[in-house]
Amino acid sequence: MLSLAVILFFVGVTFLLPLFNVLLLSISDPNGGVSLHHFRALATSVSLRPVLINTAVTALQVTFFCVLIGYPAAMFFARLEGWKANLTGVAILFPFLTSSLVRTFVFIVLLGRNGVLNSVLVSLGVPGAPFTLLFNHIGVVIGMTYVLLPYMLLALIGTMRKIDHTLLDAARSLGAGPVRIFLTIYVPLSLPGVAAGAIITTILGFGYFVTPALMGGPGQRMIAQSVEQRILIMYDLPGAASISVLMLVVVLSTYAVAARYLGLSRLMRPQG
Amino acid sequence: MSKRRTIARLGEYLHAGYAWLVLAMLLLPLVALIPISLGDSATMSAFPDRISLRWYREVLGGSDWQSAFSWSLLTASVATVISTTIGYLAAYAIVHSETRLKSMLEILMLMPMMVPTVIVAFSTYMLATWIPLDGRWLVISIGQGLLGLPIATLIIAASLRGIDPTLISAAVSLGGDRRQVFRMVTLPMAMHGILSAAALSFLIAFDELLIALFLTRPGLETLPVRIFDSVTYELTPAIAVVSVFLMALICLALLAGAVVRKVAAISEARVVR
Repeated sequence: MLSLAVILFFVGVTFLLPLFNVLLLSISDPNGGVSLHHFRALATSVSLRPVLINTAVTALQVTFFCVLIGYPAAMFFARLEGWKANLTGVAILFPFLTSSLVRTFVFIVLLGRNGVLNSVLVSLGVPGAPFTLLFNHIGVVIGMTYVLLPYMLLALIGTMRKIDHTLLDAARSLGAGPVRIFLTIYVPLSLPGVAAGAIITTILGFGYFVTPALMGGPGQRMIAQSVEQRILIMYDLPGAASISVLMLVVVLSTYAVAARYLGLSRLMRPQG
Repeated sequence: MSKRRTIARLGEYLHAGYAWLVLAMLLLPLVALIPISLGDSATMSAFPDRISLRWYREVLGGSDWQSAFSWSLLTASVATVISTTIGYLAAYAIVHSETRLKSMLEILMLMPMMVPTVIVAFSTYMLATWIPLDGRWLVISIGQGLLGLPIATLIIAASLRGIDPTLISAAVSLGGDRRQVFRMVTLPMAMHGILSAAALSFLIAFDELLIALFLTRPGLETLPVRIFDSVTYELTPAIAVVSVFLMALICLALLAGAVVRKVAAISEARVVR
């Protein structure tokens, strides 16, 4: 009982109360009253709309590429056993644990005009090379896909490992071809993992700061940067608060819907 | 028939090759940081013309990187203590209570992970306005501790669930009081989880950017803030040097984790015997 009080006191004072303060700030007006004028300002703001659209598009594109790249690879990794499974586990965990700043930084070096990727493309004689891969939309999508892919892989492998392979053997012995087995058994059984991974990457991508801030140009600004700019540069705390509330509503309602169908624990523990 | 089998075999090889390629793509960019850090000039390349330790000297000799490192060490250590302690208390309450409170507490503990980091940073910024300027670093620690709390709670709860309840009742029936049972049974058996939770929350706090960025001021700059500024304004191989150090830290943590797991397995076997 005492420990419960300690927890509630700590989380209440350091997290819930300040968060509540942010909510209050978003509905405050300059005279100390309550009004919705910050939200009205957001709704009519011409500068925020492209940021919102860009954020949503980037998050969804990154998720799509993570599924596309991750799914076939995860299928293979999920089948491994023994030291190979341990090795791939550590190999995925290592970039997962490495600071996203570091991972973004190395991509800035590698994707530059004289970077490794462009040098390889030029020496292969790819038409149009060297490409501009930095400070534009492509760069942000590449960087964020790299940063978020481990989350997707962990979610997929966790689910795929639990697939009962006797079901696949049964289907095979009944005469089903590999394509049919894959489409009617493997894909449906792995879908919860795809959904969990996709929701995690979309939500993380939606609120992402480091990669778009360092790899994007002014046209690639995302919503977390708008909050940061309003706090640190424009000192517009109520404006930052109203964008935060908007983000909170989007993210928490996504979690609520996802938790209903997938369970909260599957979302929170990417390892399955 | 055999032709079909050859095609299937070929497909399997392609599949395996693709998967290893994805893994290589995940790791190679990080490995590339090592040659980048060994470059001699201010421009960076994965294949430097001349190998030198110039940037290592620059980083190790420069007082700004050192001070950033010490600030990060301080805030992350305090954050680790916060998330591991609160995480243990919460995990214990979650595992050992059957009321409706349990799921409420679970969601409360997961909140800092569900709320976008920039908003956690914003609310920590609000918290800092209530606290004198000298306490800024502590507020950074508190915010970073909050970020590590969800993972710490999940990991410790999992290890507490793994304790066989008959061991606890055996200890109680042998006359152990609450404190003895905690110190001699629960704590050693949950130690593996507690240490993993501490290691992970340390890494999370040590790598945390936004909270520290919002609360930074001259003389109080953590390593990620320093890296962020450096990438924005300077972009020199010094960042690669720091990155190599950070990766070495993670390697050490992973290695220590493996050792702890081994030791835990041995001591568990001893307890059971």
